[in-house]
Amino acid sequence: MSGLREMRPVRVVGIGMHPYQFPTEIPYVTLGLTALRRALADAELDWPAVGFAAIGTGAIGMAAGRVMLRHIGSTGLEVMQVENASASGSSAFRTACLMVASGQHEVALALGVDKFGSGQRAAHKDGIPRLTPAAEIPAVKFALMARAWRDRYGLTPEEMALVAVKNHGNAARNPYAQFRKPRTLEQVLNSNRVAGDLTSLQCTPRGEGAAAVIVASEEAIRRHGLDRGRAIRVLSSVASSEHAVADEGWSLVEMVQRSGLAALEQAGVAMGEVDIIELHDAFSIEEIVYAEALGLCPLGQGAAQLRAGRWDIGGGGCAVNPSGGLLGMGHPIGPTGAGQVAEIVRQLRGEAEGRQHPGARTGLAHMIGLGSVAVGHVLQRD
Amino acid sequence: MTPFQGETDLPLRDPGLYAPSGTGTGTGTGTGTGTGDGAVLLALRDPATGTIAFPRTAYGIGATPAEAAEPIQLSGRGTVLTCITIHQPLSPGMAVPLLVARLRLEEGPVLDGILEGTEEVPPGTLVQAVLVPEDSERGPLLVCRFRMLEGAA
Repeated sequence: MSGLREMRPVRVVGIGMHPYQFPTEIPYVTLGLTALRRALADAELDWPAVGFAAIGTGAIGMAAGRVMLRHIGSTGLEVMQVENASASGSSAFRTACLMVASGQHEVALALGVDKFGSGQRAAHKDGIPRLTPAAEIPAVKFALMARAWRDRYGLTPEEMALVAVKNHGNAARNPYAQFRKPRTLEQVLNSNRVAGDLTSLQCTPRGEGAAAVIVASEEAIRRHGLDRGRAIRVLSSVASSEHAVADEGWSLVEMVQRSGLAALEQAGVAMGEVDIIELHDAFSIEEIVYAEALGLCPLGQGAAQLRAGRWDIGGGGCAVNPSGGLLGMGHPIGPTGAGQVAEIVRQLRGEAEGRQHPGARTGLAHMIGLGSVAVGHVLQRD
Repeated sequence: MTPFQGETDLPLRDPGLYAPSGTGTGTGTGTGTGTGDGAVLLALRDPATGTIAFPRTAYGIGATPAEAAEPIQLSGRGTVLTCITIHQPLSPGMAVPLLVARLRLEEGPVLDGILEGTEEVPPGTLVQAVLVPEDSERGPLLVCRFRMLEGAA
């Protein structure tokens, strides 16, 4: 099995966003094309140069790509729709990377776009009754995780809420974020209780938006005269799903650890070299648990890292979710994983105005999706 | 303890998941014919590996098709691993507050179930599956809840 580093080099040459926002009547085509045109402008690339498009979406329905892309031009490019729950955008990005790395295409687009959908899930259609109506509800699953970590490691509700304080603060500085207000610890703790110790400001909002990322080969960068100095190398791409583990049902955490470490190993990068992580913080507890699982700090030390500000932008350590994460930036499903990559690229270029993490050179984008599945990418500037 | 009020003829909400204690093979015939309010959970066992799967499905266990798997009853006794209160109705018709617990059944499977009452219980609490009447759009039904065993705080 060969990793991305053993294949043709792949670089991100263009990124573009439509801000994440609460549900509106705006058609998804407008959201998607806004992000795409911004990505093309960012790359200084013409649309006909793009030979492949992976459209990550969870709720729009069949043929979302062609219905949207015909308005920017029917160029005959290959179009594929990718649905992988919350990791749809990440999987679209992975597909685009592999298309370039394998030599199938020179320039490829990953475009995540979504409207807030019906919430229909395959788990509702498997014909299996559930013992509780709370089964398969993410807020319940992660409230149970939070309580388990409280019981096992002494993680307090106040410490967990610090994740939301940090990420809402980051989002307030991100023009593409759904939430633009900094929140105090008291505001987070006093927002509506949802389940267990999770309050509403510790849960990702419903929303819509779009994120576009264009990747290209070295040959395409030369041929189209693109700015190689702003092109960010994709060092690794991994994807996996859960193994069964006998640990109280937390096989999800093992999956995050295994996939994250595989992404780093394939990239030839140690966790200590990672300056930025964008990870799945749909619920505040997740950031602490996954950061620990990924080896950002020893197990049980995440709260201390948060209190010390080590995961802040400019906090002297690895900045976690400088975009604001799913809690602050939002989680419109299809775009989320592509949006993580766009944020990392912006940070590694040094172009994250107002929220730039100093000296950022290497970033990890790690996403999970219902099921559960995991997708990880390591990116690095030269 | 919530007294069982004698509604033994009420139908089960999910006869594929549980049955009253003392109903033989527990094939889930759907009527409350037990002598108390205790419940057993209906599972499958893979005769090749001993793996237990709950709930029963038509999809088999690993390489073993469902028709080759052995229907078994689980005791309904378990230990609370984690317990929380749901404060907001997160699905249509959900009545709150609602206690949800992750449990390890004494036969091994880990599952999420609803506890009786509104007081959270600590990890390690021993519980037993019981059938309790609950109103629904289909009329009153017997549903499965987990009850703290006496003296098991």
